[in-house]
Amino acid sequence: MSDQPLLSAHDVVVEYPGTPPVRAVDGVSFDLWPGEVVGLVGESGCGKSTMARVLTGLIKPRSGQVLLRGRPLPPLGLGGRSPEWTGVQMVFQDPGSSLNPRRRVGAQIADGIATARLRQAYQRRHRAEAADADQSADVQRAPATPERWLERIGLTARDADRFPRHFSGGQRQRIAAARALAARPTVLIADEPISALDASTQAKVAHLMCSMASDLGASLLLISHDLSIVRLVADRLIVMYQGHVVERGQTEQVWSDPLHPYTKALLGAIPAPDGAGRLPEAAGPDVAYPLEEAVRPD
Amino acid sequence: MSRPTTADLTAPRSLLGRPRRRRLWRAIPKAWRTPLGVAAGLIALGWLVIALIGPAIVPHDPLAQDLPRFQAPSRAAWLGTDELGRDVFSRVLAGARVTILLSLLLVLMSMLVGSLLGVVAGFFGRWVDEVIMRLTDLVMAFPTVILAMVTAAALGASLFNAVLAALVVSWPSYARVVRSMVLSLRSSEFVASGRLLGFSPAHSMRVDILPNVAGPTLVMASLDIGTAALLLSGLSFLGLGAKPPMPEWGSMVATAVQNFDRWWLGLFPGLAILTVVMAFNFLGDALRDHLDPGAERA
Repeated sequence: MSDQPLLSAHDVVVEYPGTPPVRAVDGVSFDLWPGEVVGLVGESGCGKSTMARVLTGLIKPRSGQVLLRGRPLPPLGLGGRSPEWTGVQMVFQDPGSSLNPRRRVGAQIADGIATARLRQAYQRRHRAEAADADQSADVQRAPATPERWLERIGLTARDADRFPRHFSGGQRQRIAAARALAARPTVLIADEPISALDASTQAKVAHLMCSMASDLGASLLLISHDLSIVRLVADRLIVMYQGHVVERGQTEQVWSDPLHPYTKALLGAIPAPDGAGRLPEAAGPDVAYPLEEAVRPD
Repeated sequence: MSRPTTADLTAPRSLLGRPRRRRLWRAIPKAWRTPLGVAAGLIALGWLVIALIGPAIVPHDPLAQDLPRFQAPSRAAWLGTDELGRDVFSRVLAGARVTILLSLLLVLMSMLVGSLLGVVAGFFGRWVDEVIMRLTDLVMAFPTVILAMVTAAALGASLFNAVLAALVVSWPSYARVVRSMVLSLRSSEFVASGRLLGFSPAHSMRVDILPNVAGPTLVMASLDIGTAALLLSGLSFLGLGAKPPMPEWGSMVATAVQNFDRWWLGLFPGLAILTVVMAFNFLGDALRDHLDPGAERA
């Protein structure tokens, strides 16, 4: 593991306009290291998706900054994004709108491949830092055509000529992931990519996404409200509550020994298929948890 | 002896031409296979042909005043003659060129002007959007026909000025609709994915936004052809469009109003306007059904 985090957020604050303004993210900091899979979990409205958009530059934070390999990631403005920053890619939540309905899926995956080539050319021209160059060399075994990508995600080469409406939600999410990964990102941010899918497809898509990301040497930030799926694939967990990080740690540690009362409630809310017919303990909307992070003694 | 195949069984029927007719029927897109869709298509096609080759098929010169005045429909003059002894049938056929071709031109121009301004407003937002939208508010604040009349009167009565006046009042609806579509598309996930892949604004517009805007805009335009025909005829009816002796349906109806007891003077140009407006409206409906992404396609 290198000594520098790949992507790091420093004291990020995001406010949405309103009276009073809604503070969706309030002073969040964390690091993402090369090659790791991190799960960002929390209930709906806790600021996970906002954080994902800040990390990709789709939203400009009110204060704080996002660094990619120690350099500030510029927010996406009206101009196009320079190839320098296309190493951060994202998979979105809604399988219905994550692909352009009027373009063939092959052409959409080809966009990702073109992005990867452009970035490689850019890196060659600008003599990018060694770590990035190593990564590009490492991913030479990535599929080189949309057809190979479709086969990699369990579809057939002939599917390249079909439109998104011909695929199921799970297949579309796999295609969207293939498109993002075809750009050979160093960081893939997946914002609830499985929450709109049925239970049997969720684990399949999550596993496929993780294995593809690890094959390509990309770090994965998997955002979800479903701890039971994230637990299966993430190395580390970050728990968010009302715009704050309230707990972080190795997945098994957080799972088996949660420190923060909110994490305990979140774990308690997972239904157990033990046949006892018990309803999970649900945290009521009137329950307020402390916003301070529970720090694990090393 | 082998069992007869389905092809053998149907072979004799092909002699009657039924499967061929069915093949032709199936060649028509599903959404168009309604009695109204087919009838509208045939009527619109008929009028378009007349508009294109009208001068070649008219039985009389539409400007020649060599027939008896106010002659009721007869074998010599199928739709009668007008107050100057001109053949009404020939004038109705010749009038198709003016009304239909100018309506198509008007719709095309308003679609281009309105869509361009709508795309610019929706994509760039901020003050650009404000300026363009306030301009549309300004135009839309006036009743369409009144504003078109005022504009045509100010420019001077001529067909060119009537088209210009109609253009002034008809572009804002395109600008509004296209702007709202661009706004919602701009924040959609596949557009964000494209931007993260490094699409420039122009590329994003061409690949992700315009193809998704084109369908609904074309439907709107096809529904607008009837309205445009009505508006242009209306301006001519008021004496602000075509000038005598040019054969034009609106001005022919205006003449008929002066001679109310000669029913054929107004009935036939009126029927021409009615069939054109209805045919293009039904055609627009069928096109909308055909292009609706939610509609099931065979």
